[in-house]
Amino acid sequence: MSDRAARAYLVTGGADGFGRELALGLADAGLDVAVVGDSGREEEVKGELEELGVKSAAATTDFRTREATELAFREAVQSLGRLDGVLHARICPQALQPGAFHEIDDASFDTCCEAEIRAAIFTLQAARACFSQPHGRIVLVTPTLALSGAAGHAALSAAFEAQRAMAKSAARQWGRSNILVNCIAPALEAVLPQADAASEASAAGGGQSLDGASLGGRGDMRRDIAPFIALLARDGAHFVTGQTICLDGGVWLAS
Amino acid sequence: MSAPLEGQVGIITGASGGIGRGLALACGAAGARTVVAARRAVEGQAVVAEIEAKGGRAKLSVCDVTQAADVQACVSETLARFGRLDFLIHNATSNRSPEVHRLEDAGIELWDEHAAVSLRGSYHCARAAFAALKQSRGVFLLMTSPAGMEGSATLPFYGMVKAGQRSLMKSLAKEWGPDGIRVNALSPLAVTEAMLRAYEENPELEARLEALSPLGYIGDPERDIGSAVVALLGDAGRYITGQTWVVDGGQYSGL
Repeated sequence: MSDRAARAYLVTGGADGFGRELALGLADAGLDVAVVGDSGREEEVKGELEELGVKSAAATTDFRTREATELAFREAVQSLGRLDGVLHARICPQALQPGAFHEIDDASFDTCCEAEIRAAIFTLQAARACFSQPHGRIVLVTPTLALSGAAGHAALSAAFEAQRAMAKSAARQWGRSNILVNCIAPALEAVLPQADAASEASAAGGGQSLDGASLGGRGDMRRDIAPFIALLARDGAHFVTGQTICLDGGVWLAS
Repeated sequence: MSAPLEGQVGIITGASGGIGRGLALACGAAGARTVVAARRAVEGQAVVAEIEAKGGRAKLSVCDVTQAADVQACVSETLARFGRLDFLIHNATSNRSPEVHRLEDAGIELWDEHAAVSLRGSYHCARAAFAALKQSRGVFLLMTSPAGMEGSATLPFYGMVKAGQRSLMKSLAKEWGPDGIRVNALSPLAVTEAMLRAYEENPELEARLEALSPLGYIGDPERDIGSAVVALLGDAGRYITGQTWVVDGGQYSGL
């Protein structure tokens, strides 16, 4: 393994829902994993990760400020011993609740849109500050909702697309520091809680129905998505930056 | 032959200067009763006077799009004065849009300046205008930028809000389509007052920018951008929704 390969990842939102599945999947691939979030299950998931034979760490933050986010990152990195990559998988569960855009209130708009973006900004800034080597890998989870838009999720789609643009800009600014920034785009249903995913899938339209997925289904985060993120951690991916890779089984086929 | 926007009523935010002024002049000349929404009353009133001097009808609405009450008042005043609303163009951007920054250094207050005008402003405009646009089967138009599609090495936060607006546009096109409301985005390139000042400081800049344009010149806000907007707002654009129109003489070809 060359020096450019990432061996230790921090996963935001890694102790709950699809974030936990991704954290476990990265551990399956042999990466050391720290989980950082505010689900209250971080220590429990740290134990699950260690059972897979990798080094693990846990820290808590609500991503509301740059200082708190960076503090949690530093705590996790100190336990883990190093940091080569960050996977931003934290999505506030309330942000995933659908609602008519003209009816949502100010607090809901902030939860679904602006707070999500602020958390992503703080995550990128903390990642940049905490990488152990003069290089690093950052991956943001930005579901295909960002590319397609969807009725009932206007504010969240804006938040995801803003993060895609941030990844492209970070790739431009940090490329010469060998910090690679990419996005992975699973189907929206893949990041929803199971019950919500089923109803969302049945209501989906406009080419977004999972029934039409080329490979079928919403994908299993641990088995279908995490292995690709682990590929992005390897030396062979050192020339990939600023990209969005759709990992939705072929639902979204536009360029 | 009647003017293409005869009988229509529209609001344009940020219309006291730059591209917004050009759009207001074009819409006014095309027959629309035009509401010049801007924070700068003196400059906004001058645009109203220009429209009226050419035989059009217009009114000023002093409006800060970061304030929901201002936007609601602007829509209410428009309905009171002209009786309907057929289009709202959210063109305003933060005064700090041209401020070069790096992601690792930028403070969250700079992000909030961008978000307040572009993202929260879009939310305020959408919420205030929805009922009236539903009644008229009207158009909601958001302005975007290549920075929102390919990121920016110098203006990451600007690119993020412009990307967010574009995905918001796609979601709203799907959400509001059943109500007959069309939602689109437009990415312009035109000579503004800020560009003219830059030309004075750097006399070679104009020729350099023009050399990048396949059509060999930088657009005029009224004649080149405004004419496209009039086409989109008029009957010719009746089947166009959820789309991004790049109106820049062919400079950006990444879509």
